[in-house]
Amino acid sequence: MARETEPAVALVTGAAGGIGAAVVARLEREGFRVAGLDLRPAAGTLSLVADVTDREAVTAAVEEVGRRLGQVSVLVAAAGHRVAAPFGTLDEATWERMLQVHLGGTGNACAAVLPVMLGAGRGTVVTLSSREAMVGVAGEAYRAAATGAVLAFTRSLAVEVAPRGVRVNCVAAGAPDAVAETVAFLVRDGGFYVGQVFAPAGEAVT
Amino acid sequence: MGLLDGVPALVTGAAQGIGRAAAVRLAQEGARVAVNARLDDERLAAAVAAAGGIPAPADLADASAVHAMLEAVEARLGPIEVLVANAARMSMSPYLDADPEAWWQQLDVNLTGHMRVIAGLLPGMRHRGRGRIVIVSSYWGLIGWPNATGYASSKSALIALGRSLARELAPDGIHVSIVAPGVIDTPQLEVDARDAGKPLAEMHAIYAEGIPAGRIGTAEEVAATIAFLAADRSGAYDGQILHPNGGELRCSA
Repeated sequence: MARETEPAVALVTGAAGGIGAAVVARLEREGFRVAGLDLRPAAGTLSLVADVTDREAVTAAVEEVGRRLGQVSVLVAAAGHRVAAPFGTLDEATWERMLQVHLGGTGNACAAVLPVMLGAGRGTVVTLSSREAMVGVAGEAYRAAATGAVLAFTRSLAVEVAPRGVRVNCVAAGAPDAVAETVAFLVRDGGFYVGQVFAPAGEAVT
Repeated sequence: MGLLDGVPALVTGAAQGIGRAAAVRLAQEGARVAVNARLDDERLAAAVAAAGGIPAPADLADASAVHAMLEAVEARLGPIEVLVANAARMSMSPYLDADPEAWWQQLDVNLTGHMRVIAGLLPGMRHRGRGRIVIVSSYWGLIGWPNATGYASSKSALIALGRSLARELAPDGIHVSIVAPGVIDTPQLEVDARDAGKPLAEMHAIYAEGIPAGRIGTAEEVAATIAFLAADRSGAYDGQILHPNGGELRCSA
């Protein structure tokens, strides 16, 4: 059986949110030292306050994790910015913020950890999308678009880095504990998954 | 503590390959495993020994044999809570050259055979309000494969069966999910290598070339997915298809 990682260092963005906090707790139970990044202090072995849309801040945070905990071998990009609004009612700045957090933030976190993972020839990345991205939901066009972009990003990045040993997959939808269990599974036993979208949502969405 | 401590489970088609690995993994997670195979032979005995389970021989094409097997298994282990529907037959040939009997036999085992087992277990699962069914399909069931019309059809139908049952049974507390593995290192690859007149290692390399992960998968990796989906703790997977395939489908879809 291919084990992706030894108990080591994980980075979770959006660590102060419901899903992020559940993932932090679950990975700590798996024996990881977990750095939790968010706009406000979060649980974890190391708390980092930074905005995922700020590329330089994210890069600096990952460098700090490397210095204080060791090289990151697991990234869970759980930062999100959720606003429900009928289409046409959201101001440009809020929409831009949603897209920048979901797609831009996921991209920034991946960009910051991938050089180390690719150098090591291994690593596990889990992105977060949403039920809205998988199925059509009235009143959620903005959220579906922002999180749907993460699906396409994940699938393409997954096949791009898989030949170099890094596994990128996505969890879309599901309660915090179900998402955390899936992350633990991917870290432990996910070596042959590339670009899979997991949806522990209590319904067939994929 | 395992994911499945004390849970009675049935794995069909477990004499070798993914089924055998699943039986062993479920047992490692604490399940009490009934190990099914078509023949009651030394391969089944070895799989039973490896899983520390009980033998449950029956040909899924034989309705009365399935019925008797389920009765015997539940008499020994108690009500089955986890079913891994894995048994399959495969006979490859160009469509027009296919022997109709062999072609339909694949449907009779790979689809109808599982329906027989599920129908036998469902009343009890419904009554208890709990159950997990993990259906093992194949990525060939999604993308098709040359000279495999019967096998691919059976595996595709199995996905439709699983997704429909997932919708039908979720309100009763019965969770159905599907695994569609890519190329996995099982004894079937030896058959492929023989058919192609190539050494096994070369077969592995040929398959690995088309897989972004750069290698074929292991039966143990698929078994880990099956155990994950079989466990209550994993959350509400209903009708999801998981693809342990190293990214191959990405390039074929």
